[in-house]
Amino acid sequence: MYFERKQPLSQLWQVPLACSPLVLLAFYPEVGDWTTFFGRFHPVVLHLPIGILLLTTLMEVLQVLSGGQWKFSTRLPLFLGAISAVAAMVLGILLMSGEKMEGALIESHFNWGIATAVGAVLALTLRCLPQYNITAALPACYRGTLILTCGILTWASHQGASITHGETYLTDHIPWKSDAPSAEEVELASGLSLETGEKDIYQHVVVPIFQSKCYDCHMTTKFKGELVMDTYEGLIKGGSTDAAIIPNDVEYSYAMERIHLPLDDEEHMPPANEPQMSAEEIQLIEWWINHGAPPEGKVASFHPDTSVTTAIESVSQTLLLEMETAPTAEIEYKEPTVEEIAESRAPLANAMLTLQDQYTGLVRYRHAMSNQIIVSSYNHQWTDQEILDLQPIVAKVTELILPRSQLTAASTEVINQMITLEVLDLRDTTTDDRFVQALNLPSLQRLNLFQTQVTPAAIDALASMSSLRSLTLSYTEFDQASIAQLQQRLPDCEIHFEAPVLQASSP
Amino acid sequence: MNLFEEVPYRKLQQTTRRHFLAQCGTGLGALWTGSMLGSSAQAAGIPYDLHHDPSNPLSALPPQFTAKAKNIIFLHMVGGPSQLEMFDYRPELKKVDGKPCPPSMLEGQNFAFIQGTPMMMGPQADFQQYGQSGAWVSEHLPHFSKIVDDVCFIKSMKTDQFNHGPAQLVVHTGGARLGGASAGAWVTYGLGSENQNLPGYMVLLSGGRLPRAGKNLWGSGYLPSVYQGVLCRSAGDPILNVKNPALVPSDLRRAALDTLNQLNEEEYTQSQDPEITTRIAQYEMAYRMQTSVPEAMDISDEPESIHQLYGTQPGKVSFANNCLLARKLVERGVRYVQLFDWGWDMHGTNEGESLTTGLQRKCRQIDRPMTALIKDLKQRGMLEDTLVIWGSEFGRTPMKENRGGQDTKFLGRDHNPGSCTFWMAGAGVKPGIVHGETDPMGYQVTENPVWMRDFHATMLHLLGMNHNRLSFPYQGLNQKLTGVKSASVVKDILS
Repeated sequence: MYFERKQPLSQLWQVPLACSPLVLLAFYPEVGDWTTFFGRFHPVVLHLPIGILLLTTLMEVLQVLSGGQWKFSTRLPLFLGAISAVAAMVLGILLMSGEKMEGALIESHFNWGIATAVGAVLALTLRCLPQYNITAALPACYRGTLILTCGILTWASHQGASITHGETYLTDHIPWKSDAPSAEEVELASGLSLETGEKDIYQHVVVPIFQSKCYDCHMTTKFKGELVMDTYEGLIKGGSTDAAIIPNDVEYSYAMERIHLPLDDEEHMPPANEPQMSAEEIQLIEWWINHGAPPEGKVASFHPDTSVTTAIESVSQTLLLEMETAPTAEIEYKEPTVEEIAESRAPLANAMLTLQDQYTGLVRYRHAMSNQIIVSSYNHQWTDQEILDLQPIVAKVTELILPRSQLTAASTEVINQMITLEVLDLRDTTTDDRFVQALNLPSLQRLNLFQTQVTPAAIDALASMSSLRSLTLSYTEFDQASIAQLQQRLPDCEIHFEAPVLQASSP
Repeated sequence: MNLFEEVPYRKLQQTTRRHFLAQCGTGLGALWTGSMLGSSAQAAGIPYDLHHDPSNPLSALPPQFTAKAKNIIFLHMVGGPSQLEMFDYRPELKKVDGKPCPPSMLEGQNFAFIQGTPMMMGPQADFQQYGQSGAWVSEHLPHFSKIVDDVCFIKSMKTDQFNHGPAQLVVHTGGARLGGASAGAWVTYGLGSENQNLPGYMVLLSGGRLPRAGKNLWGSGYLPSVYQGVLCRSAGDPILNVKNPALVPSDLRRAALDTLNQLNEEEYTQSQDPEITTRIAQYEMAYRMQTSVPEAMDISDEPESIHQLYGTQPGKVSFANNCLLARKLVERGVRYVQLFDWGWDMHGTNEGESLTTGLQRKCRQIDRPMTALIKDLKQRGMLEDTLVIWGSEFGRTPMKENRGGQDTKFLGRDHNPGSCTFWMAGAGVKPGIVHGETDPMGYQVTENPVWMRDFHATMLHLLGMNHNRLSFPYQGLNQKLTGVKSASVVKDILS
């Protein structure tokens, strides 16, 4: 049997007791080393409210769900949860002030942390009200507050963890996540893998070094000592003491001073327990400062000597290895948006529309995201006159697939304007030496002259097409000897050649 | 609005405020899950937005990214040729010839005919290494062995079906049940075809019989029916019922078609049924095909050197003729040419189905033509755009078949979904390599397994399409050729 007892005494005395850690705020804003000393207990204490408040809530929820069959005494855990939440909040405030941490992420964690403590104390207050067992609404209010506090607590702890472990700590190793690195990583990696002279002195040399050694504590979303290093302005403005970087003045650049302090000095940067800057990295930063610490500009334009170029190469290599993501074509690839595609196609869009209307299915883009154009002729025999219609789009034609067309050398005038043309397929046409000799296509990679009237007289013209990688000459007047001669002059080109030979019949 | 756009729209209309509120409870969780999984769900594919011209649904569309291949020729040896007598040389198997099969190889396996404990059977052909790649090829394929350096072998093909019909469906539609769209239909749906006077997807048969799964193998399934394969005969009228009947001149035919089109268009304005536009387009293509098909399907005008190369005899139904036709069709811009050659089911029940004379005869029938096809495409500079695929629905067991618990009259092997050999040549595929490995018995794949769906993903990739994004909404699911299991492009074989 369950007897409902009237609560004899108010339990409200618990509330001020739970708030007692607030006395530590006496060390705020900053009282010598004490603030930091106490502040650093924040990561120790904060786990108590997380565990205790979640447990308390679980007990309450189970109690309600079981219809009162399971009973838990939540009085003590609730009190401990509230007092530890207040303690964690106070210590957090001290830590922030002692370590001079700032930034959007810090601020947000600050607010949510306070909300957690307030929520916990509010829940405790509701629970301790003398009317708790009399008024029906109070338990519901209390439990609601508790659950809400757990939500706030979860978010606050997540943000806290983001500050210490980084914002992608939890999601870095999701098994189903694609291996593709983030856009920032790709950008960083592609910058690092540029040719030394092509690199931007700030973006590709200085930023990667700061990023690997300094950003953890000095970035816009979370920074210590009022110093933000992930923007150029932040470096020049500096932190609470002085400008971090003073162009042309290594000696008075405060960041360099801190870096050059002995490792056992308290003020040394990066902190002794963190990865240190290598001599080469320091050399490069100083080289940059000595050249006026410019926010941009090609490395080559600053005439680096060999020691600098080797330093750049080795630092880039080391940083790339650290990232473990050497950029490949696939990583650099980013699918363009519909707008970007439309924009890249815009200059020739109207001409394309007209042509696609006139030659349905014969003129089209190379692929859905490309602005390059393919012209084909599988069920249409292009004439010299019609090829003139391609005039407006010559700049973008990359493939001309024209088997069985009726073109003559006259059409080369238009074709030669297709300076990006990579594939020219003229099989089964009357293409002759004059046609081939008139061709002048700097990008041509594939030329198909199967069953045409081309003869070995065109060998010089063909040999001059140094960009060719594939050439088809079967069923022409060429013979093995002339092919061998051509192959010698076009060593990088695969030549397809078979003469029509009748063999003695075999089974 | 067509039917497919209308269904989700109607469904939205049926959602009332009450539905909305009722769903809120789980809906918020779903929203959260959606946002959490959003990035990976997107990797699974935002469907491609394909704009087909309703009056010309087969007109060529650009691929979605740079395509290595433009055309496909798929040579399917119907029945499951024995990889152990053709490409997968297993000397270890010879040593255990005649010994009983260990139980470990039988546990958990399904067989069409093998019962009890069968005997192991060594390779029934001699093998040699050829070319610079050193690929092993059996004595049955003397011509083909000369071009192994142009070919990429995949010795580790796997399927999950052990009977002909379902296994064939897996190869061509991605799923073992009827009703799926075939690979050729997907490809023409995604890319259209280059030549509007010919079907974009053509099917040629040899060997005397239809494959077990029948016309579903080149069907369009849930895709619009215009994308289904068109079966062509290699003797007689290539396509039945396209020719005008006797005494019907072409202009009369034209006039009749014009009237029919007019009626169809009226019907379309009222019902908006997209199948009607398809029908009009089909009639028009059939009319154009009256002249273009006989021309494309006539191999008699090919020079004698080509006939010798392929071993073709005009007027006969043969795999050789079909190979030459395949080249002619691709040359004219047909997107996907599917060949089926029946008669590779070597169970050993009669001489024609024996691993000795039967298999030799079949090998002789294909050896020269398929070699000629590669050579011919190469000499025309077309192999760089055309992907030739040779394969089947499954491989065969290293055990001798013992139908009904007794030895069969002739030497034969049972179906083996655990491993079989495909080869590919041409556009975008590394020549002269062997991908994947099987165990010493040639029974199961031990290295780099390639499921049929991986093969489909690879083929679509070469054609410039992502298999996760080439999809079509049907029965509440974005249907894909590769199905719902995860498939991946076999990157190792890409050049």
